[in-house]
Amino acid sequence: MVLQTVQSIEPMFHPKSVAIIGASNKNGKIGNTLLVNIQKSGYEGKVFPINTKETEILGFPAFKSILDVPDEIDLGVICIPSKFCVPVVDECGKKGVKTLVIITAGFKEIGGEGVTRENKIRELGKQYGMRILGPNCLGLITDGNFSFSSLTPKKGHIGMLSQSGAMMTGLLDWAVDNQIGFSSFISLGNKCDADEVDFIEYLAQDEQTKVIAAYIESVQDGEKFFKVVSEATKKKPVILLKSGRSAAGAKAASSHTGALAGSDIAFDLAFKKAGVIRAETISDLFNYCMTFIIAPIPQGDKFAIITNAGGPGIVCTDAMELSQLGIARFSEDTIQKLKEVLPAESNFYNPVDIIGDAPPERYEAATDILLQCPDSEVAGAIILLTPQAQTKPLEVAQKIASLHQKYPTKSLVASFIGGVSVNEASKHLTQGGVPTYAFPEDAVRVLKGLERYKDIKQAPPITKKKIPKINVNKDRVREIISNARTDGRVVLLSYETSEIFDLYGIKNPKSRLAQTARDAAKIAEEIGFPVVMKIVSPQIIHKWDCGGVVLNIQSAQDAKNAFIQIMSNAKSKGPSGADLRGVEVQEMIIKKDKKKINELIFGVNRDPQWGPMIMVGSGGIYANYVKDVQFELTYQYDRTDALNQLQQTKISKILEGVRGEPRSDIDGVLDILVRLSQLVNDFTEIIELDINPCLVFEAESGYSAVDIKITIKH
Amino acid sequence: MLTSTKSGAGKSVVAIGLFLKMKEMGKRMGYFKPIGDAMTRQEKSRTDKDVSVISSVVARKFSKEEICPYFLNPESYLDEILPEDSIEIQQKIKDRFSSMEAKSDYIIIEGNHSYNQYSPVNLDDLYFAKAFNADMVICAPISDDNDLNSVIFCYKYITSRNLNVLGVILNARTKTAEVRIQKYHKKILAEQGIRVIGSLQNVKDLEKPTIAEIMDATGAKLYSGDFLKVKNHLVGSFIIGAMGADAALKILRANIDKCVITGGDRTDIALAALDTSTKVIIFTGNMDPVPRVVSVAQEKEVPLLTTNTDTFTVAEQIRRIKTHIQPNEIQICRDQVENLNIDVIFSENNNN
Repeated sequence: MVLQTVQSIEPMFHPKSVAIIGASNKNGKIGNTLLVNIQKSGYEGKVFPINTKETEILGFPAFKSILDVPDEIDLGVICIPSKFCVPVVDECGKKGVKTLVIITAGFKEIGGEGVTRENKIRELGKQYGMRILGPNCLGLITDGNFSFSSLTPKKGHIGMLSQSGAMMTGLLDWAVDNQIGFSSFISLGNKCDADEVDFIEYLAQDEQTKVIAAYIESVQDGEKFFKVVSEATKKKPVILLKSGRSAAGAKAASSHTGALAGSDIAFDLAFKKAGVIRAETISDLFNYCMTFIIAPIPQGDKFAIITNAGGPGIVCTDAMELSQLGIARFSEDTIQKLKEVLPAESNFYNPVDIIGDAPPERYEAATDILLQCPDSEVAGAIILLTPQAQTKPLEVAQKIASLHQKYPTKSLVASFIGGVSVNEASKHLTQGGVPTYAFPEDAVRVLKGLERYKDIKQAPPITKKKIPKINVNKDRVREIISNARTDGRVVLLSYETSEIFDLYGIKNPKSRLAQTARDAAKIAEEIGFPVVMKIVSPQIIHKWDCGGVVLNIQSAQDAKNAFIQIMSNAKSKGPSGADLRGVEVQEMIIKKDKKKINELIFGVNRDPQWGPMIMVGSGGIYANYVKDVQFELTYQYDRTDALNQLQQTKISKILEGVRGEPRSDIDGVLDILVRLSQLVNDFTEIIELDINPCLVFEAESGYSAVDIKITIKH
Repeated sequence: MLTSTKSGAGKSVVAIGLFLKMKEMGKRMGYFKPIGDAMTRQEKSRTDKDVSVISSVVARKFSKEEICPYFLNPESYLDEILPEDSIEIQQKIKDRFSSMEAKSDYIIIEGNHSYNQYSPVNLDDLYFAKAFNADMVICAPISDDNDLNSVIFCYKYITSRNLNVLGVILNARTKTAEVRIQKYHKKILAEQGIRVIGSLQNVKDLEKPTIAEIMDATGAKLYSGDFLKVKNHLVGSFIIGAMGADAALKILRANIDKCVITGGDRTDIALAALDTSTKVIIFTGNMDPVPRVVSVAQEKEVPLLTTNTDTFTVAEQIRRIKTHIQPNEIQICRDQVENLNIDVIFSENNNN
């Protein structure tokens, strides 16, 4: 499968022959720009312009149809009006063209007939086994410039993808100005066939590419992304800048989980899970790329700061603390060595302040001492410089660059703060292999990225994880869901959710449906007093408001009376014509019998691209205000993930036991998380699930999922 | 003759189902409705809604006039006929019945909305049962125990008039009613010597109005959408969109195939509704929806209706809708009679 994708798109990267369908002699036409770009980029393969009227274009013999070309064609680039594209794609297929780039716009993005056209070309691509990039894209720059961009960047090691053509032109312009090189630059367009994941898969095995970077607005297939990208990130860093919002998740948020999830969290979680480094801004994206290309991956997790001014040193320290980047604590021996070479007014602890008059030699001496330290003490350093009267930025840069040569495994980054005084020095440093940034926070961010990549590489591949499963009577769950659907309901009734939870071994109060007052009395006796009774009706959402709940029922006669009272209240105060199914009789939790009770919230929200997203945190009526919740995607989710997730909530400390309280049933909480994960993965029909509150007691008393809501797909 | 304790008993469902079942068994079946409902009489078909469906889909060999010879307005029939005029009408109806009798092995007679309707003018079900020498079956809607009172009283009254009642068909209106029928009502009826022929299952689709029926009841005009495509779509529930969008979303998500009634200026409610399972939106107060709503509605093929009246009035108009069987619901009627002991109805020992 992997090889198939790589082999199928390989001709886009190293085509031996290219046909430009819509090539033109007219200056300003895309077909003309394309051919000029191919010529200028030094492409060495064969070029076949296709134009129904011309015989020669820019010195190349032109052909009336792709079918007239005597040679095999590896890459076809189409830039004719969209209404002619379908027959031309068909001809390309008949000709045996291996890959296609469709630059033309006027497809899915315009709706209506454009959608039909795009579907047709996708089908043709499949029929002929011809991979397609685009339509509605700028093209790609690989062995040649097969795009209509006005610039061709220099060759380098960044494999770049962009879902926006306009973004690609902007990035190219900026990259040319900043001397940034690319192994390839691909404009993804509408992604009718080949998508970001296919190209990441290719670039992961491409020797010229050291870093994969992309600007994306959406991901087509979450599961494919996980499978491919989590493998790719083991080979080289994948840095993604994602814009846009996952609207489907936020817009239709009717549950606690939906409302708490926010719009973009699923992407954050997915990227983290797949080992992707997420860039927040365009400059972040390139800072990461530059750093990953030239800087080594840190061998430890603690870093030193060397500065000639207190302010930037503090700013840098703050940034490190905020991003949880380890701040090195020096050994006595290191401090002693620093004292020997630095003036007495210096700060010998991290951040090392070598004071304002620091000459290049002082920078060199201090940095040398710190880089000599074992990796466990100092894995790298951030060099800060502000241009003061005595400062010689260029000479400092030369000294630091030399130290990089001397200690090539240490992660060394710099921030020379300033403009005209430091520009040349900054360029020298970057060229010397030390990534340099305008401000300390940027330096910290990329160093954190480097450190994170070390963990990504070391982590076991997510696709290889074995997820244990519990045995469940799935047929019964399927039957419950199917009955609700037949009944025209999307929200399961409480006794149905209770049964599903029983089947999945998630503890919840004993609960049964009573349809007559006599039944209610009998069920209440069987469950044991006291019980709670609640109206069951798909149309009644706020049960309390219509007198549909009676608490603390102590006898069979009371249960009988409560049934009659609840049904009568629901008829008179509930929505007109509400379908009353009866009254739920539920075991009542007696709080005074418990040593400790914490209210937790659990939830699941299904993201359209990434699948189910599970939530845990502080529950109860204030859950939406407290917002102490953590999310995780349920793809390859196990008990370790559950524990990590829980530990990120504030309530986790309270569950462990504070102020002399006993430890809560944390094992039970983890149990709920993994069982919920299995439930929503087993049944894709479940689109939302909420438990609020789930009462968690002291360890020996367990927990009880009191209020459960399950919403299924219509 | 199918008579009932009150309207909504499911007589038409039983009539259609029995007609089809007996036809399958090779019998020449007739369907007769002595008096149609002038309030639901349609201009185009010149007959009431139930007769229109039955004559066009089920009993096609008879004309609408043969099936239903006379119409009265239930609320003001005394404007049309006084007791002294009834003999002429009775004769006209009897003549039509005789003509159908000659062509049929069995005739299913569908009575008025209730067994006592039109009794002041001697055009009630009991009169016709006697006139046609027909056995009677009582159909009764059951929502709760209250309805059992009417069933027993109706049975006793009819039998006291020396008419033969074959039994009762109970139509459970809710799931809890189904339970009460099984648990209590059947037993009590048996103790009173009343035979239960069967009970209809609560089939929601038969109670749902179509978009055309909603338009008819409210007078709302189609603002966007394809009428021919959506007119027979069934609407499962009604939501008044007068709350905040956040609060509304919870309710909108919980209800499927719904009709949302809201003001034309409530773009938030309309968009939230379109994001959930909605069959139609009615904009009240003479305010048209904004272009964004129209474009999303067109994309999702949800028709938008507008009306000059206020939301409360529209809700009241909708509350008064009496649903009628749609041509595509005939099979549901056929399936329903499988729950009935039809041998009791078509026994050789009966009058028919």
